[in-house]
Amino acid sequence: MLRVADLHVFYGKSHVLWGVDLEVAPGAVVALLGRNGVGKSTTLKAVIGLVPARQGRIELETASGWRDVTHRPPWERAALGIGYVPEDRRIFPHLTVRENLRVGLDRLTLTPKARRQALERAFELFPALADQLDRPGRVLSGGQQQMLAIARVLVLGPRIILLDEPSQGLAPLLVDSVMDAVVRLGREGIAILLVEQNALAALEVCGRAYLMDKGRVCHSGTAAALRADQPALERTLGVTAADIAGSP
Amino acid sequence: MTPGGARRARGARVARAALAPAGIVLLALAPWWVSPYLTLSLTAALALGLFALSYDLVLGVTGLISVSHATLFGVGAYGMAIGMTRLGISFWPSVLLGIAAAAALAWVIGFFSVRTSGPGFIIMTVIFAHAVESVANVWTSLTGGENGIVLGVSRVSLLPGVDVHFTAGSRSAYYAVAACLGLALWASRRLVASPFGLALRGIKGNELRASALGYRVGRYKILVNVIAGAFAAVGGILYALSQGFVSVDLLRVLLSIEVIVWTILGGPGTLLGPVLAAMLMSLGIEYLRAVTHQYVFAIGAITLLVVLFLPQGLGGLIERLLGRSVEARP
Amino acid sequence: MTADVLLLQLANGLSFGVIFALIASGITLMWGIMDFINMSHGELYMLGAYGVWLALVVGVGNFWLALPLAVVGVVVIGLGLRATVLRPIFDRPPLHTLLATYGVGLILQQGVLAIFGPFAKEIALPVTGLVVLGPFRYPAYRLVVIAVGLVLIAAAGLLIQRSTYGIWIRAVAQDRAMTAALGVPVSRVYTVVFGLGSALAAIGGALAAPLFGIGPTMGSEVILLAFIVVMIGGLGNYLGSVIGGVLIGEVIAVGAIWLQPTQAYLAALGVLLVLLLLRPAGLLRGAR
Repeated sequence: MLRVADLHVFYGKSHVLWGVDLEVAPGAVVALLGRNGVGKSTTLKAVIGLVPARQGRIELETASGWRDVTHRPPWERAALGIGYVPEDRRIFPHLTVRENLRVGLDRLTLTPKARRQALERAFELFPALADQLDRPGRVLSGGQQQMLAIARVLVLGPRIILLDEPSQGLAPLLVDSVMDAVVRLGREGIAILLVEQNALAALEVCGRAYLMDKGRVCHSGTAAALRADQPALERTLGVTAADIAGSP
Repeated sequence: MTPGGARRARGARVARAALAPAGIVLLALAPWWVSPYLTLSLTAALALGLFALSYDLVLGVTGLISVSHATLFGVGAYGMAIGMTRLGISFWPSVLLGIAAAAALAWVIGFFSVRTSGPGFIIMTVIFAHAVESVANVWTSLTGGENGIVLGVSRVSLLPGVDVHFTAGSRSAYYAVAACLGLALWASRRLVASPFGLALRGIKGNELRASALGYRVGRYKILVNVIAGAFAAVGGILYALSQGFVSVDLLRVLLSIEVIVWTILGGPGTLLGPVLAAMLMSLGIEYLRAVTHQYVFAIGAITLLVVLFLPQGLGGLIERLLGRSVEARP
Repeated sequence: MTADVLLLQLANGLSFGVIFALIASGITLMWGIMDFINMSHGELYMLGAYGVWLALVVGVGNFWLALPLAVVGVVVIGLGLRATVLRPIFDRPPLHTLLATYGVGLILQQGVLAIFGPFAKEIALPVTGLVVLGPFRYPAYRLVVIAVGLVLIAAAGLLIQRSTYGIWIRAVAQDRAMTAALGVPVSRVYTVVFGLGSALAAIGGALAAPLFGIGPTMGSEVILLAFIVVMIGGLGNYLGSVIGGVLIGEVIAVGAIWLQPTQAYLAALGVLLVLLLLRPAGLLRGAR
């Protein structure tokens, strides 16, 4: 579904990503883990095109085969099926919930029925949003904003969703419900690339995971294998055996 | 640094080292080997150089985009002119009046402009500049409109026995203005190196951070506008004296835009760069004025061309050329 | 000064205000959504006026036919400039757009001056006569200007609130990157904003032409007040520029009872300065 090869990204003169390689299979839930500042968010931003790739390739599998999107603008990549849910949610503060959803939805030429269905799908996953349709984005709580951020992307029928730290700043109960949503999305066949600092929560829901350190992928494997690989987890994430034992 | 880069840097240094003394000698002896007409032009160009220097403090050092700097240049000149011709004040107090008027206006403009959020600053200065230009155009009894006010100053006594003559081709005028420019350059360098200058440069680099560090950013912006306004007023006064009259052309928005172009061409923040660019450009424009009526059109075209093709200024162009010529060698 | 004179000027102020609002809303849209300071906006207004005059001169019989033609012409010119001269500076800092658009404005102004000469052109009022409103009689054309202007402003406002492009325009103003990431072609939105802003300015110029005459400098004459309106309404605030436009229109018109035109401009500036002292964020806060 998604292939990233030898990705190098610079912020000005600062070399931030040093040849990142990763793959997401269709319908798979893949986690990208690592400490603060190793480049996880930057990787997602590069995939959606909000930061330019200095070197490397980004390829997306579409209905008509693999497409090289390395230098395409963000809106083209979104149209090809990449959905992006950013770290700080970035809800449009002065647009209502309905208008937030319309931003992406209006781009698709849908029949009224198809449109309704798309919205239904989102409300099924996040019923709370249906009551908030006319409230401006800025008055929503953190949890509601997170739901809207995902719903906004979901109604577009994406092939793969890039989720950047969805649990950040949320109470544990909300974290659970967000992760549940991730699982359900995965079951619907949407591929997910999940960036998370909360490694343990992420390892519960993903099938594969990549560990990043200092702008590179330093370790990868199935979630089960990684959960068992204490040295790697400790080295790159500072997660100890006690943490793993104590996780729900 | 790559070997090519080191070569380029050395080439640039050699060029600059050779040009500088040659240029200074040529300029210093100018009145003795150029025509009186050109001496007058050079004198005016030096005054405009002082104007550009003052603007570099605002744009190049502090990063403030002000479109009202010619307003201060012109108000300074008019302050002196009105003082001498309408209020009957003698020369030196009139000069002080001009500088004070410009500084006060700079304070007002700065005060209101910083009250708006970031990008509004530019538009506020545009508004003030347009307003003053409109008033000056209409209030012809005060300003003399297009024809301006003729100054009756042909001779100014600096010290007993040292007189500066403001007549066409005057050498003393040339050296007086050059001396003022030199003094202003020295003062500006000191200013930039001082803690105040450091704060200004910090504001240019990252305004939010400067504010978070406790600097009252608004006050610094107003203050630099006032200081630069005073320098600009001096430039305006010297320019008017060299020409023998003031006119509303000195405070037009057009001139404010021109000085921005000169600053970009010369290299914002380098202080000397804008001075040289201003001198070159003003001589060029003067030549254009003599040749065609369409010089306003030309200024518009030049402005556009500079932005499109020379956003890094002439220094950037030279570096690109030097770089290429060095790279071409085996 | 009688109540009649005051009422007359209040009505005139509305006609000025509508024209200011048309110009200022274009500036504020381009600035708020595209971070684009258009110093040549006054020239778009001026070209709208010349466009109507030109259309009438070449034989288009009806003013109301000439107006949309002129607007289309100005939009074409504006978009053409954007695609050619202004394209390279698309992502440059505001200083560069400031200078580039100023240069363009100057070239347009001098071009018109060279082609059509410095003397003002005149257009006959497309609607003559007075309308009787109770005890008062008011020029019919001015009423038409007010009506047409208000309708267009409301239509544009509705477009921005409800339509797809309107939502996209507001989204881009709030978070350009995220809008792009949701699949919206941001460059197309910019084109629409630029076209809309140019059209509004041109309409303002066309409506103003029979009232104030047509000259190469009419753009730079009106730009001062337009910028004042933009600052009063708040940068990027469409509704603010409309309300600000009407406010300044009234200040100018009522001011004209006692003051010379330039002094009235200073009064408008004074209003801005007072507002800045009291409410630095602009007349309306946050409403986008």
